[in-house]
Amino acid sequence: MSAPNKSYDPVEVEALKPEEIERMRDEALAAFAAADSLDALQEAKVAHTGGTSPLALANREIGALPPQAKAEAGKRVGMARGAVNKALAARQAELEAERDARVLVEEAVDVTLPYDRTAAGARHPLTTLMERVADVFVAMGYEVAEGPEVEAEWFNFDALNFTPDHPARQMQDTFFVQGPEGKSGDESGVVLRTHTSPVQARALLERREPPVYIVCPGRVYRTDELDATHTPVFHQIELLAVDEGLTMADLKGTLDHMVQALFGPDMKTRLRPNYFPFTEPSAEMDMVCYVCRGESVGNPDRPCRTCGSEGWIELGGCGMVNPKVLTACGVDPQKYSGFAFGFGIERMLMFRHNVEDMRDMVEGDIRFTRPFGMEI
Amino acid sequence: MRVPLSWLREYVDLPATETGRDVQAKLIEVGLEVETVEQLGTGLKGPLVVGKVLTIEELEGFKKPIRFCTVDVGTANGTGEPQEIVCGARNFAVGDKVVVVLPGAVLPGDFAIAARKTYGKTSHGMICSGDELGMGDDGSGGIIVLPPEHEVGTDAIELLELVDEVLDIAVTPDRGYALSMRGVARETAIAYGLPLRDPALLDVPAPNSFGYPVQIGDPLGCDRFTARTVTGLRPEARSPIWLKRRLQKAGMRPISLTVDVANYVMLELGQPLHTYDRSRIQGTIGVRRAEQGEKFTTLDGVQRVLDAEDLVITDERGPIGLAGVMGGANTEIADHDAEGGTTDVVIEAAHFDALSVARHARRHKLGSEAAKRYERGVDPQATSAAAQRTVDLLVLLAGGTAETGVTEIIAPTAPRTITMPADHPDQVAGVTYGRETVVRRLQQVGCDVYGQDDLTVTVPSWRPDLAEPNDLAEEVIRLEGYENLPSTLPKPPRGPRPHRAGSDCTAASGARWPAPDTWRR
Repeated sequence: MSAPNKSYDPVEVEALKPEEIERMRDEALAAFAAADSLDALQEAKVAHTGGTSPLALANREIGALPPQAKAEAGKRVGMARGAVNKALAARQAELEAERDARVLVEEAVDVTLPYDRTAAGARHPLTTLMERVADVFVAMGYEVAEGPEVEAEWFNFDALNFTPDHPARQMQDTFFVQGPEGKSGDESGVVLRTHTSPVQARALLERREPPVYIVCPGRVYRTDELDATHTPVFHQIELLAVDEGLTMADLKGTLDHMVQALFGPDMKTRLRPNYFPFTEPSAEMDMVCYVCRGESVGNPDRPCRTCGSEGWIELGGCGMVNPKVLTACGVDPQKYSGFAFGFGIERMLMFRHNVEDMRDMVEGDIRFTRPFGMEI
Repeated sequence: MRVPLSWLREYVDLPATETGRDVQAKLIEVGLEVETVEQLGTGLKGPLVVGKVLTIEELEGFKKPIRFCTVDVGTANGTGEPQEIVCGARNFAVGDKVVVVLPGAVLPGDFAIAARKTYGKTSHGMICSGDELGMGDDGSGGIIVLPPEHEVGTDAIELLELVDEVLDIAVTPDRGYALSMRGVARETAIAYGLPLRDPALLDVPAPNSFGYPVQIGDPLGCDRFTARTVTGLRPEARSPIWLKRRLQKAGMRPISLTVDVANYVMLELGQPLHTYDRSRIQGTIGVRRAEQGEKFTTLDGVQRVLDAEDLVITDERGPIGLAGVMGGANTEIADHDAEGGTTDVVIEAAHFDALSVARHARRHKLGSEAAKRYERGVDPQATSAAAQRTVDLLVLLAGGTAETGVTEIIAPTAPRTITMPADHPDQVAGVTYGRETVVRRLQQVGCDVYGQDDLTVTVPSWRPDLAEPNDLAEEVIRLEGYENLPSTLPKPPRGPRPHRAGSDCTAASGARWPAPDTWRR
């Protein structure tokens, strides 16, 4: 604002002429009335009430007037600006009301319409865990192999060195499948596989020549009653490596690697002599309890539910592939050796995630599945 | 196989401080799966003594018969006066020796004994049953009546061997020899590096032609048959306490002296035995396949229709036993209560083909302790020692006389040998054990080993499971310790490869799996 110019001769200032002020006011009012949207109104607002609008500029000139003219000009400009602001507010309110009415119609939400967003899903934890285990071996260069669940008795038993009357063959109670010519159960030569081990025989026969490094996840069947710790249909994962010069130390190292990948870097395994027809030497494999790390043993103050204060968790069976199995599958046991192991996925899910009842896994209730999500 | 620690110590001089748990850990290391260690007599506290029943007064007017007894317990009660005891059992009489627990004692299950008023009298203690002492079923159906020779006032905790530890071993199907004290003792001796007193090392008379006549019609089904005869058994002779207690701890029920002795020898040596009442066998004993449809009544009173594959023991009338499974009712040993009772027995110690026994045991749904052992492999060379041991015990305990006749039919078999490179166990394990260790370990399990770079290994008769070089490798590796194997990683020749389709993507977009993927194929 310029300082009052006392020496300034009272002259007519063009911009402050009453008709000029009136024109500015009318132009502003017309512009507001013409604005048909809030955006247009905003433009008009800037043009007619902003710092560079004609009325604002006119207002600046008031200071240059002689004192007696100032009051009159000020009053004129003030009234014009008042009218402009009032009109602006009115138009603003009008346009906002219009917009709100329109939005209410345009953006109305029908809460009865079908839900169109999806929550995160969840795969069945047995699948996720099986794949997690398989991934450990795939990352090491193993291949995933599969076999049929309705299996020839030869693959399920004979190829794996179970003789027809061997007591081990009774250790597993088997579902026999009726044969195509109506041959009953045990004559048909067809069973629901009792373990994933027949995939070993299939893989060796299919691939012809070692090296064979495979991991076989899958579903197996035994005639167990369904209860908290048994189910007639369950899942196993099997590993087979056949190559030149494989040793039991390699088996031990592979097991150690697996439990470290699944349960943490300090994990280790323990082998105990056992008997399986298809491995020789054979072993039972345990892993150190990943919860108490063995500290609950002989320590009644800190019992461990996961391992029952044993310090070790039984995983499954393993061993060096029996040379008879290699021979049955067309592999020269003089040249090649191998190791294999297998264990139950349900059991691992139970102790890894504190699932107390195996039935929860098989009853098909997605409320069981959901909390596991996509990773395990 | 249930193994009482006190019995095991008879064959291996274990350090006195070794507990059942210590032995369990050692045996697990060498591959015997000791599932539990049962503590017998935990919390048991005397005085528990032998007493002699002096008087019995029948108390009237109660819902069940009750007896008020006075029992001489010697000076065990401090006064020497007869002990007054109320008792509900009835299987004893005045003059019988019984087991008395006195006030101040504690029985298993934290059962403290005190003098208390009952049925209008004060009972100063209790006359005990086997159950109350944690002994298991002794077949008496009531309180324990001891043989009369035991002195009044003797400590019964020691007499009845009430405090002990029992290892329960789950024997895998390949290791039938471990279904015997002899086999478990051998493993224990190896695990501790101690010498074994092999109970099968007995002086056995040479076979001769005047033993009970036996003819083997099927040498494949039965490659060895030893028959011995003991005469003049006292029918009233009862199994001594030590024998009953060992059977009970091993999980078998004492029945009669002859049966108990046969069971005892089976537990000790792993060789199943059968005893026939000699007066009830007619003519030569034979072994043959049954005729299709042939009928035979087994000891359990069930008449069985035989299959042509069944292996039977016969006399000139027909079958007298289903080989290795169960004897016949027609030649059963008679109890002394029955008329006459058995005084002369023929002992059969035979080796039957594992498969034949397995098949007919399954066909007739007759699982027995004997069948279990035959199926898993019995030491064929143990028949003469087992028969001798049975003879010795019957002579000792029942006052019998061993006849000099010894029948032994042996189908010729060559010893089984395996040849393998001396470093084969090293190759399997991925460890350098060296020839010396390999040979030493194989000798420990009973093998004869010859050769330098290539070993010729003759396996012991009790290890039919040792047939291939890898079987021998397992023996070496398990005895050197699975826990000492190093941990190495093989390198598969191919790199990682994708192996899965997009179920993760479908789950990300909202699917939930009620069942594992395999269920939907």
